[in-house]
Amino acid sequence: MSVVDRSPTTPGRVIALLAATIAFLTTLAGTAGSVGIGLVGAGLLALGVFAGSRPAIDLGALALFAGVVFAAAWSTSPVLPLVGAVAAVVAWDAAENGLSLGQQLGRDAATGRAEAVHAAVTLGVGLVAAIGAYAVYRLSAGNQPLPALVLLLFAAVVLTAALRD
Amino acid sequence: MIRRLLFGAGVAAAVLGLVLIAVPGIASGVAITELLVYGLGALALLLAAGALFRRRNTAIVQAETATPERPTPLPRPGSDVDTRLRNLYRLQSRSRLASERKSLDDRLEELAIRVVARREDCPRETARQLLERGEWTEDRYAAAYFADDIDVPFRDRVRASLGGSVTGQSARHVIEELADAAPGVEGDR
Amino acid sequence: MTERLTNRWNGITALAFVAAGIGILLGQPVTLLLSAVGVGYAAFAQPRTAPEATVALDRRLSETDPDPDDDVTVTLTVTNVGDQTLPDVRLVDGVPDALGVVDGSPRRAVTLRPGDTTTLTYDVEASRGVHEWGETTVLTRNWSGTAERESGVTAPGNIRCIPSLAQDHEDFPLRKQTVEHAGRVTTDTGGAGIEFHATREYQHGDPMHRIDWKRTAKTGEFTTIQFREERAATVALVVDTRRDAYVSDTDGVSAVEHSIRGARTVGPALMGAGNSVGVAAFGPIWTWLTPSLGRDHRARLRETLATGEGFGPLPSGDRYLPRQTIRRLRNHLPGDAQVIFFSPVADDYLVTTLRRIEAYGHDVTLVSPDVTDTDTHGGLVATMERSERLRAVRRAGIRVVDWDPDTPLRLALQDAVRGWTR
Repeated sequence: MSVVDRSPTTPGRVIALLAATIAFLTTLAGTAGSVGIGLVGAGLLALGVFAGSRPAIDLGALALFAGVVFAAAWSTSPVLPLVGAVAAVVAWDAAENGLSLGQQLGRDAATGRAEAVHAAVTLGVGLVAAIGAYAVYRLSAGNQPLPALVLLLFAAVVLTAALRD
Repeated sequence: MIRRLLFGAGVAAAVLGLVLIAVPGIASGVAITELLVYGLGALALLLAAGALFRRRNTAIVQAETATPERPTPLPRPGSDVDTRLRNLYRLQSRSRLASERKSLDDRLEELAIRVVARREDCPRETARQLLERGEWTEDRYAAAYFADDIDVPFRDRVRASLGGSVTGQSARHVIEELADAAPGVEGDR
Repeated sequence: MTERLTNRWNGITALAFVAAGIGILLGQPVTLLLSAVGVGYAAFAQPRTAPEATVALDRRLSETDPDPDDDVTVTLTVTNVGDQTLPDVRLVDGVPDALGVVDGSPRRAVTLRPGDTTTLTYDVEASRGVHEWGETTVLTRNWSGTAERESGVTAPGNIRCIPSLAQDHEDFPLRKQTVEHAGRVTTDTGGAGIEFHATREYQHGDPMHRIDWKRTAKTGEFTTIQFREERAATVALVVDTRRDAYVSDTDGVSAVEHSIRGARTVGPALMGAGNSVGVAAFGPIWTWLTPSLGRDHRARLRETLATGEGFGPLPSGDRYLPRQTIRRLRNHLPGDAQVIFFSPVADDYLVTTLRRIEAYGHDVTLVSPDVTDTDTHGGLVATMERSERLRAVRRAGIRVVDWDPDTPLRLALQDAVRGWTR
């Protein structure tokens, strides 16, 4: 009997790469710089998910998110950036889950259904946040008073800091 | 406690901000300095760096699992000797090295005494003396293993220590020399 | 049961801060909006408890008394008997230590709503002995995966694999120590018996049926055929089951396993020839079957060699007490018993043990399966040490059968006998 292969699972790889591609595609709406960072990020994530490296997955997802953030600076509509941001996190989550399952259960174990459910839930959380953000955007409808923005920023920062890291 | 304050402040700010957006006009009277805005931006980035730093410092924790697919393996005969020889090549603490070397020494010495005593048809004590004087073999490395005053030529010693440990090299030579002496043992390396 | 925080979402707030910081520094509201995504996920990662493993396990085995090398199909059914959904359940079944999985996987990850069931199926290859399934490892996580709980759930199951005794009988050349009733050990004193030994001059009173009539026809002389006396022996098959003996050959089969196979071949042959045969496990777990004869005894012999506690496929963790074991053997051996000792001779103490048994008055024959090889330096050392030990055993007047387990024991016996009669 051969020793168990503990590299990341196939469903994890598939979902992660799919989501990473979507996130990368949204960066194309931005400048060359954002596309470049996004490409590096997607590449690192892919590397991490095949080699089974957590640092690569983390850094790759972060770079991908940064690419989306910079691309958003040149966007008039928040739809694509929001999609890209959620996709980047879904990609990271599926990659890390696939890596974790590979380590604990090995590639030969049946994990597809569980991984799909997990990714769907993560996607759902992101969509809720994105829809909420979009709603705020529509509410302001072009009229964005600076004090309001500052307050919202302050709120975001403070709320996030209140959440345990 | 601080968290609750932060949470409260955040919610309050969010509500206010949303109100200002929903009901334009209220905000026009309020003056916000650019400095404050940039300061908040910088603060946010600083907090981002802090969060990332914290992540780098905490390891992912998860349960380790066994390998039930494979029957528990049993050692091969002599595998402990192979492990000791491998460990000699690895840089490690002086005391570990010394104790590993000692058990290997004892074992090889006992085997050598038996083999040499049988081959030369002499008592154990004579065999031991042959070993100490290095007269039991032509191979210099092997002879140097048991004999304190025989030296492996300096050049060979340097070469050996670059590739690994002199002791390990000598031990292997001892084993090979003994195997050649023993009839019916096919050396196959 | 252990609960752990995985820390997998640590640092997620960085995404919110990066988006907010860059958004405000560049003055881009769209970028600022992205921080909402970070905040959302940070909230998602707040719960830090993992659900309890509210699962019930049921195990079915396709067969509980397989033959060696048969495949046994294991079906494990896992049901969520709680009232909460288990978002992430990871299962690793407790396959017995000595068995290997040949098909399927004993691992699975599932999501189980209350009442949901999942079934794991895999095959193991049976081998001699009693094999018990241990705990199934159940890992449960919450929705975000921030916490993981490790539990062990037991679903009992075991198989008993008892190999049949060898069918081909080969006479084992026993030593001269015998008991006084007729059987099959040949002694050198001529007398009433079965095997032709020599002829001598006819003496008045010799039975008519023992006159060598062929010779009389040729030469006219009257001569009587003498037969070697054949007597029954009492034999104890002693198997070395100490940790030192659990070394394996290149295929992963242990010397203890080969020893037991040897005993399985020799025992029936001896019993078939009318000798009393018993077995002993010489190791941390003492097992003893008193020498005897008969069909019932054959069955007991077969079962003891297969499932006896001292004859496990893997070394037991119990402490081995050398003096106690040799004393036990001495006390249990019938006074006239001879010993056939099966051991790889992987340590010096065994040589001492054999000498001691011989000194107690029991003739010893050593059957030693050779699991060493010369592929590595360590292997060479083991091979040479074993050679020297076998020589020492021979010097003590003990017969040695040096057996390469890739060949039938019968051939090794033939070689050995040739050496003894030289």
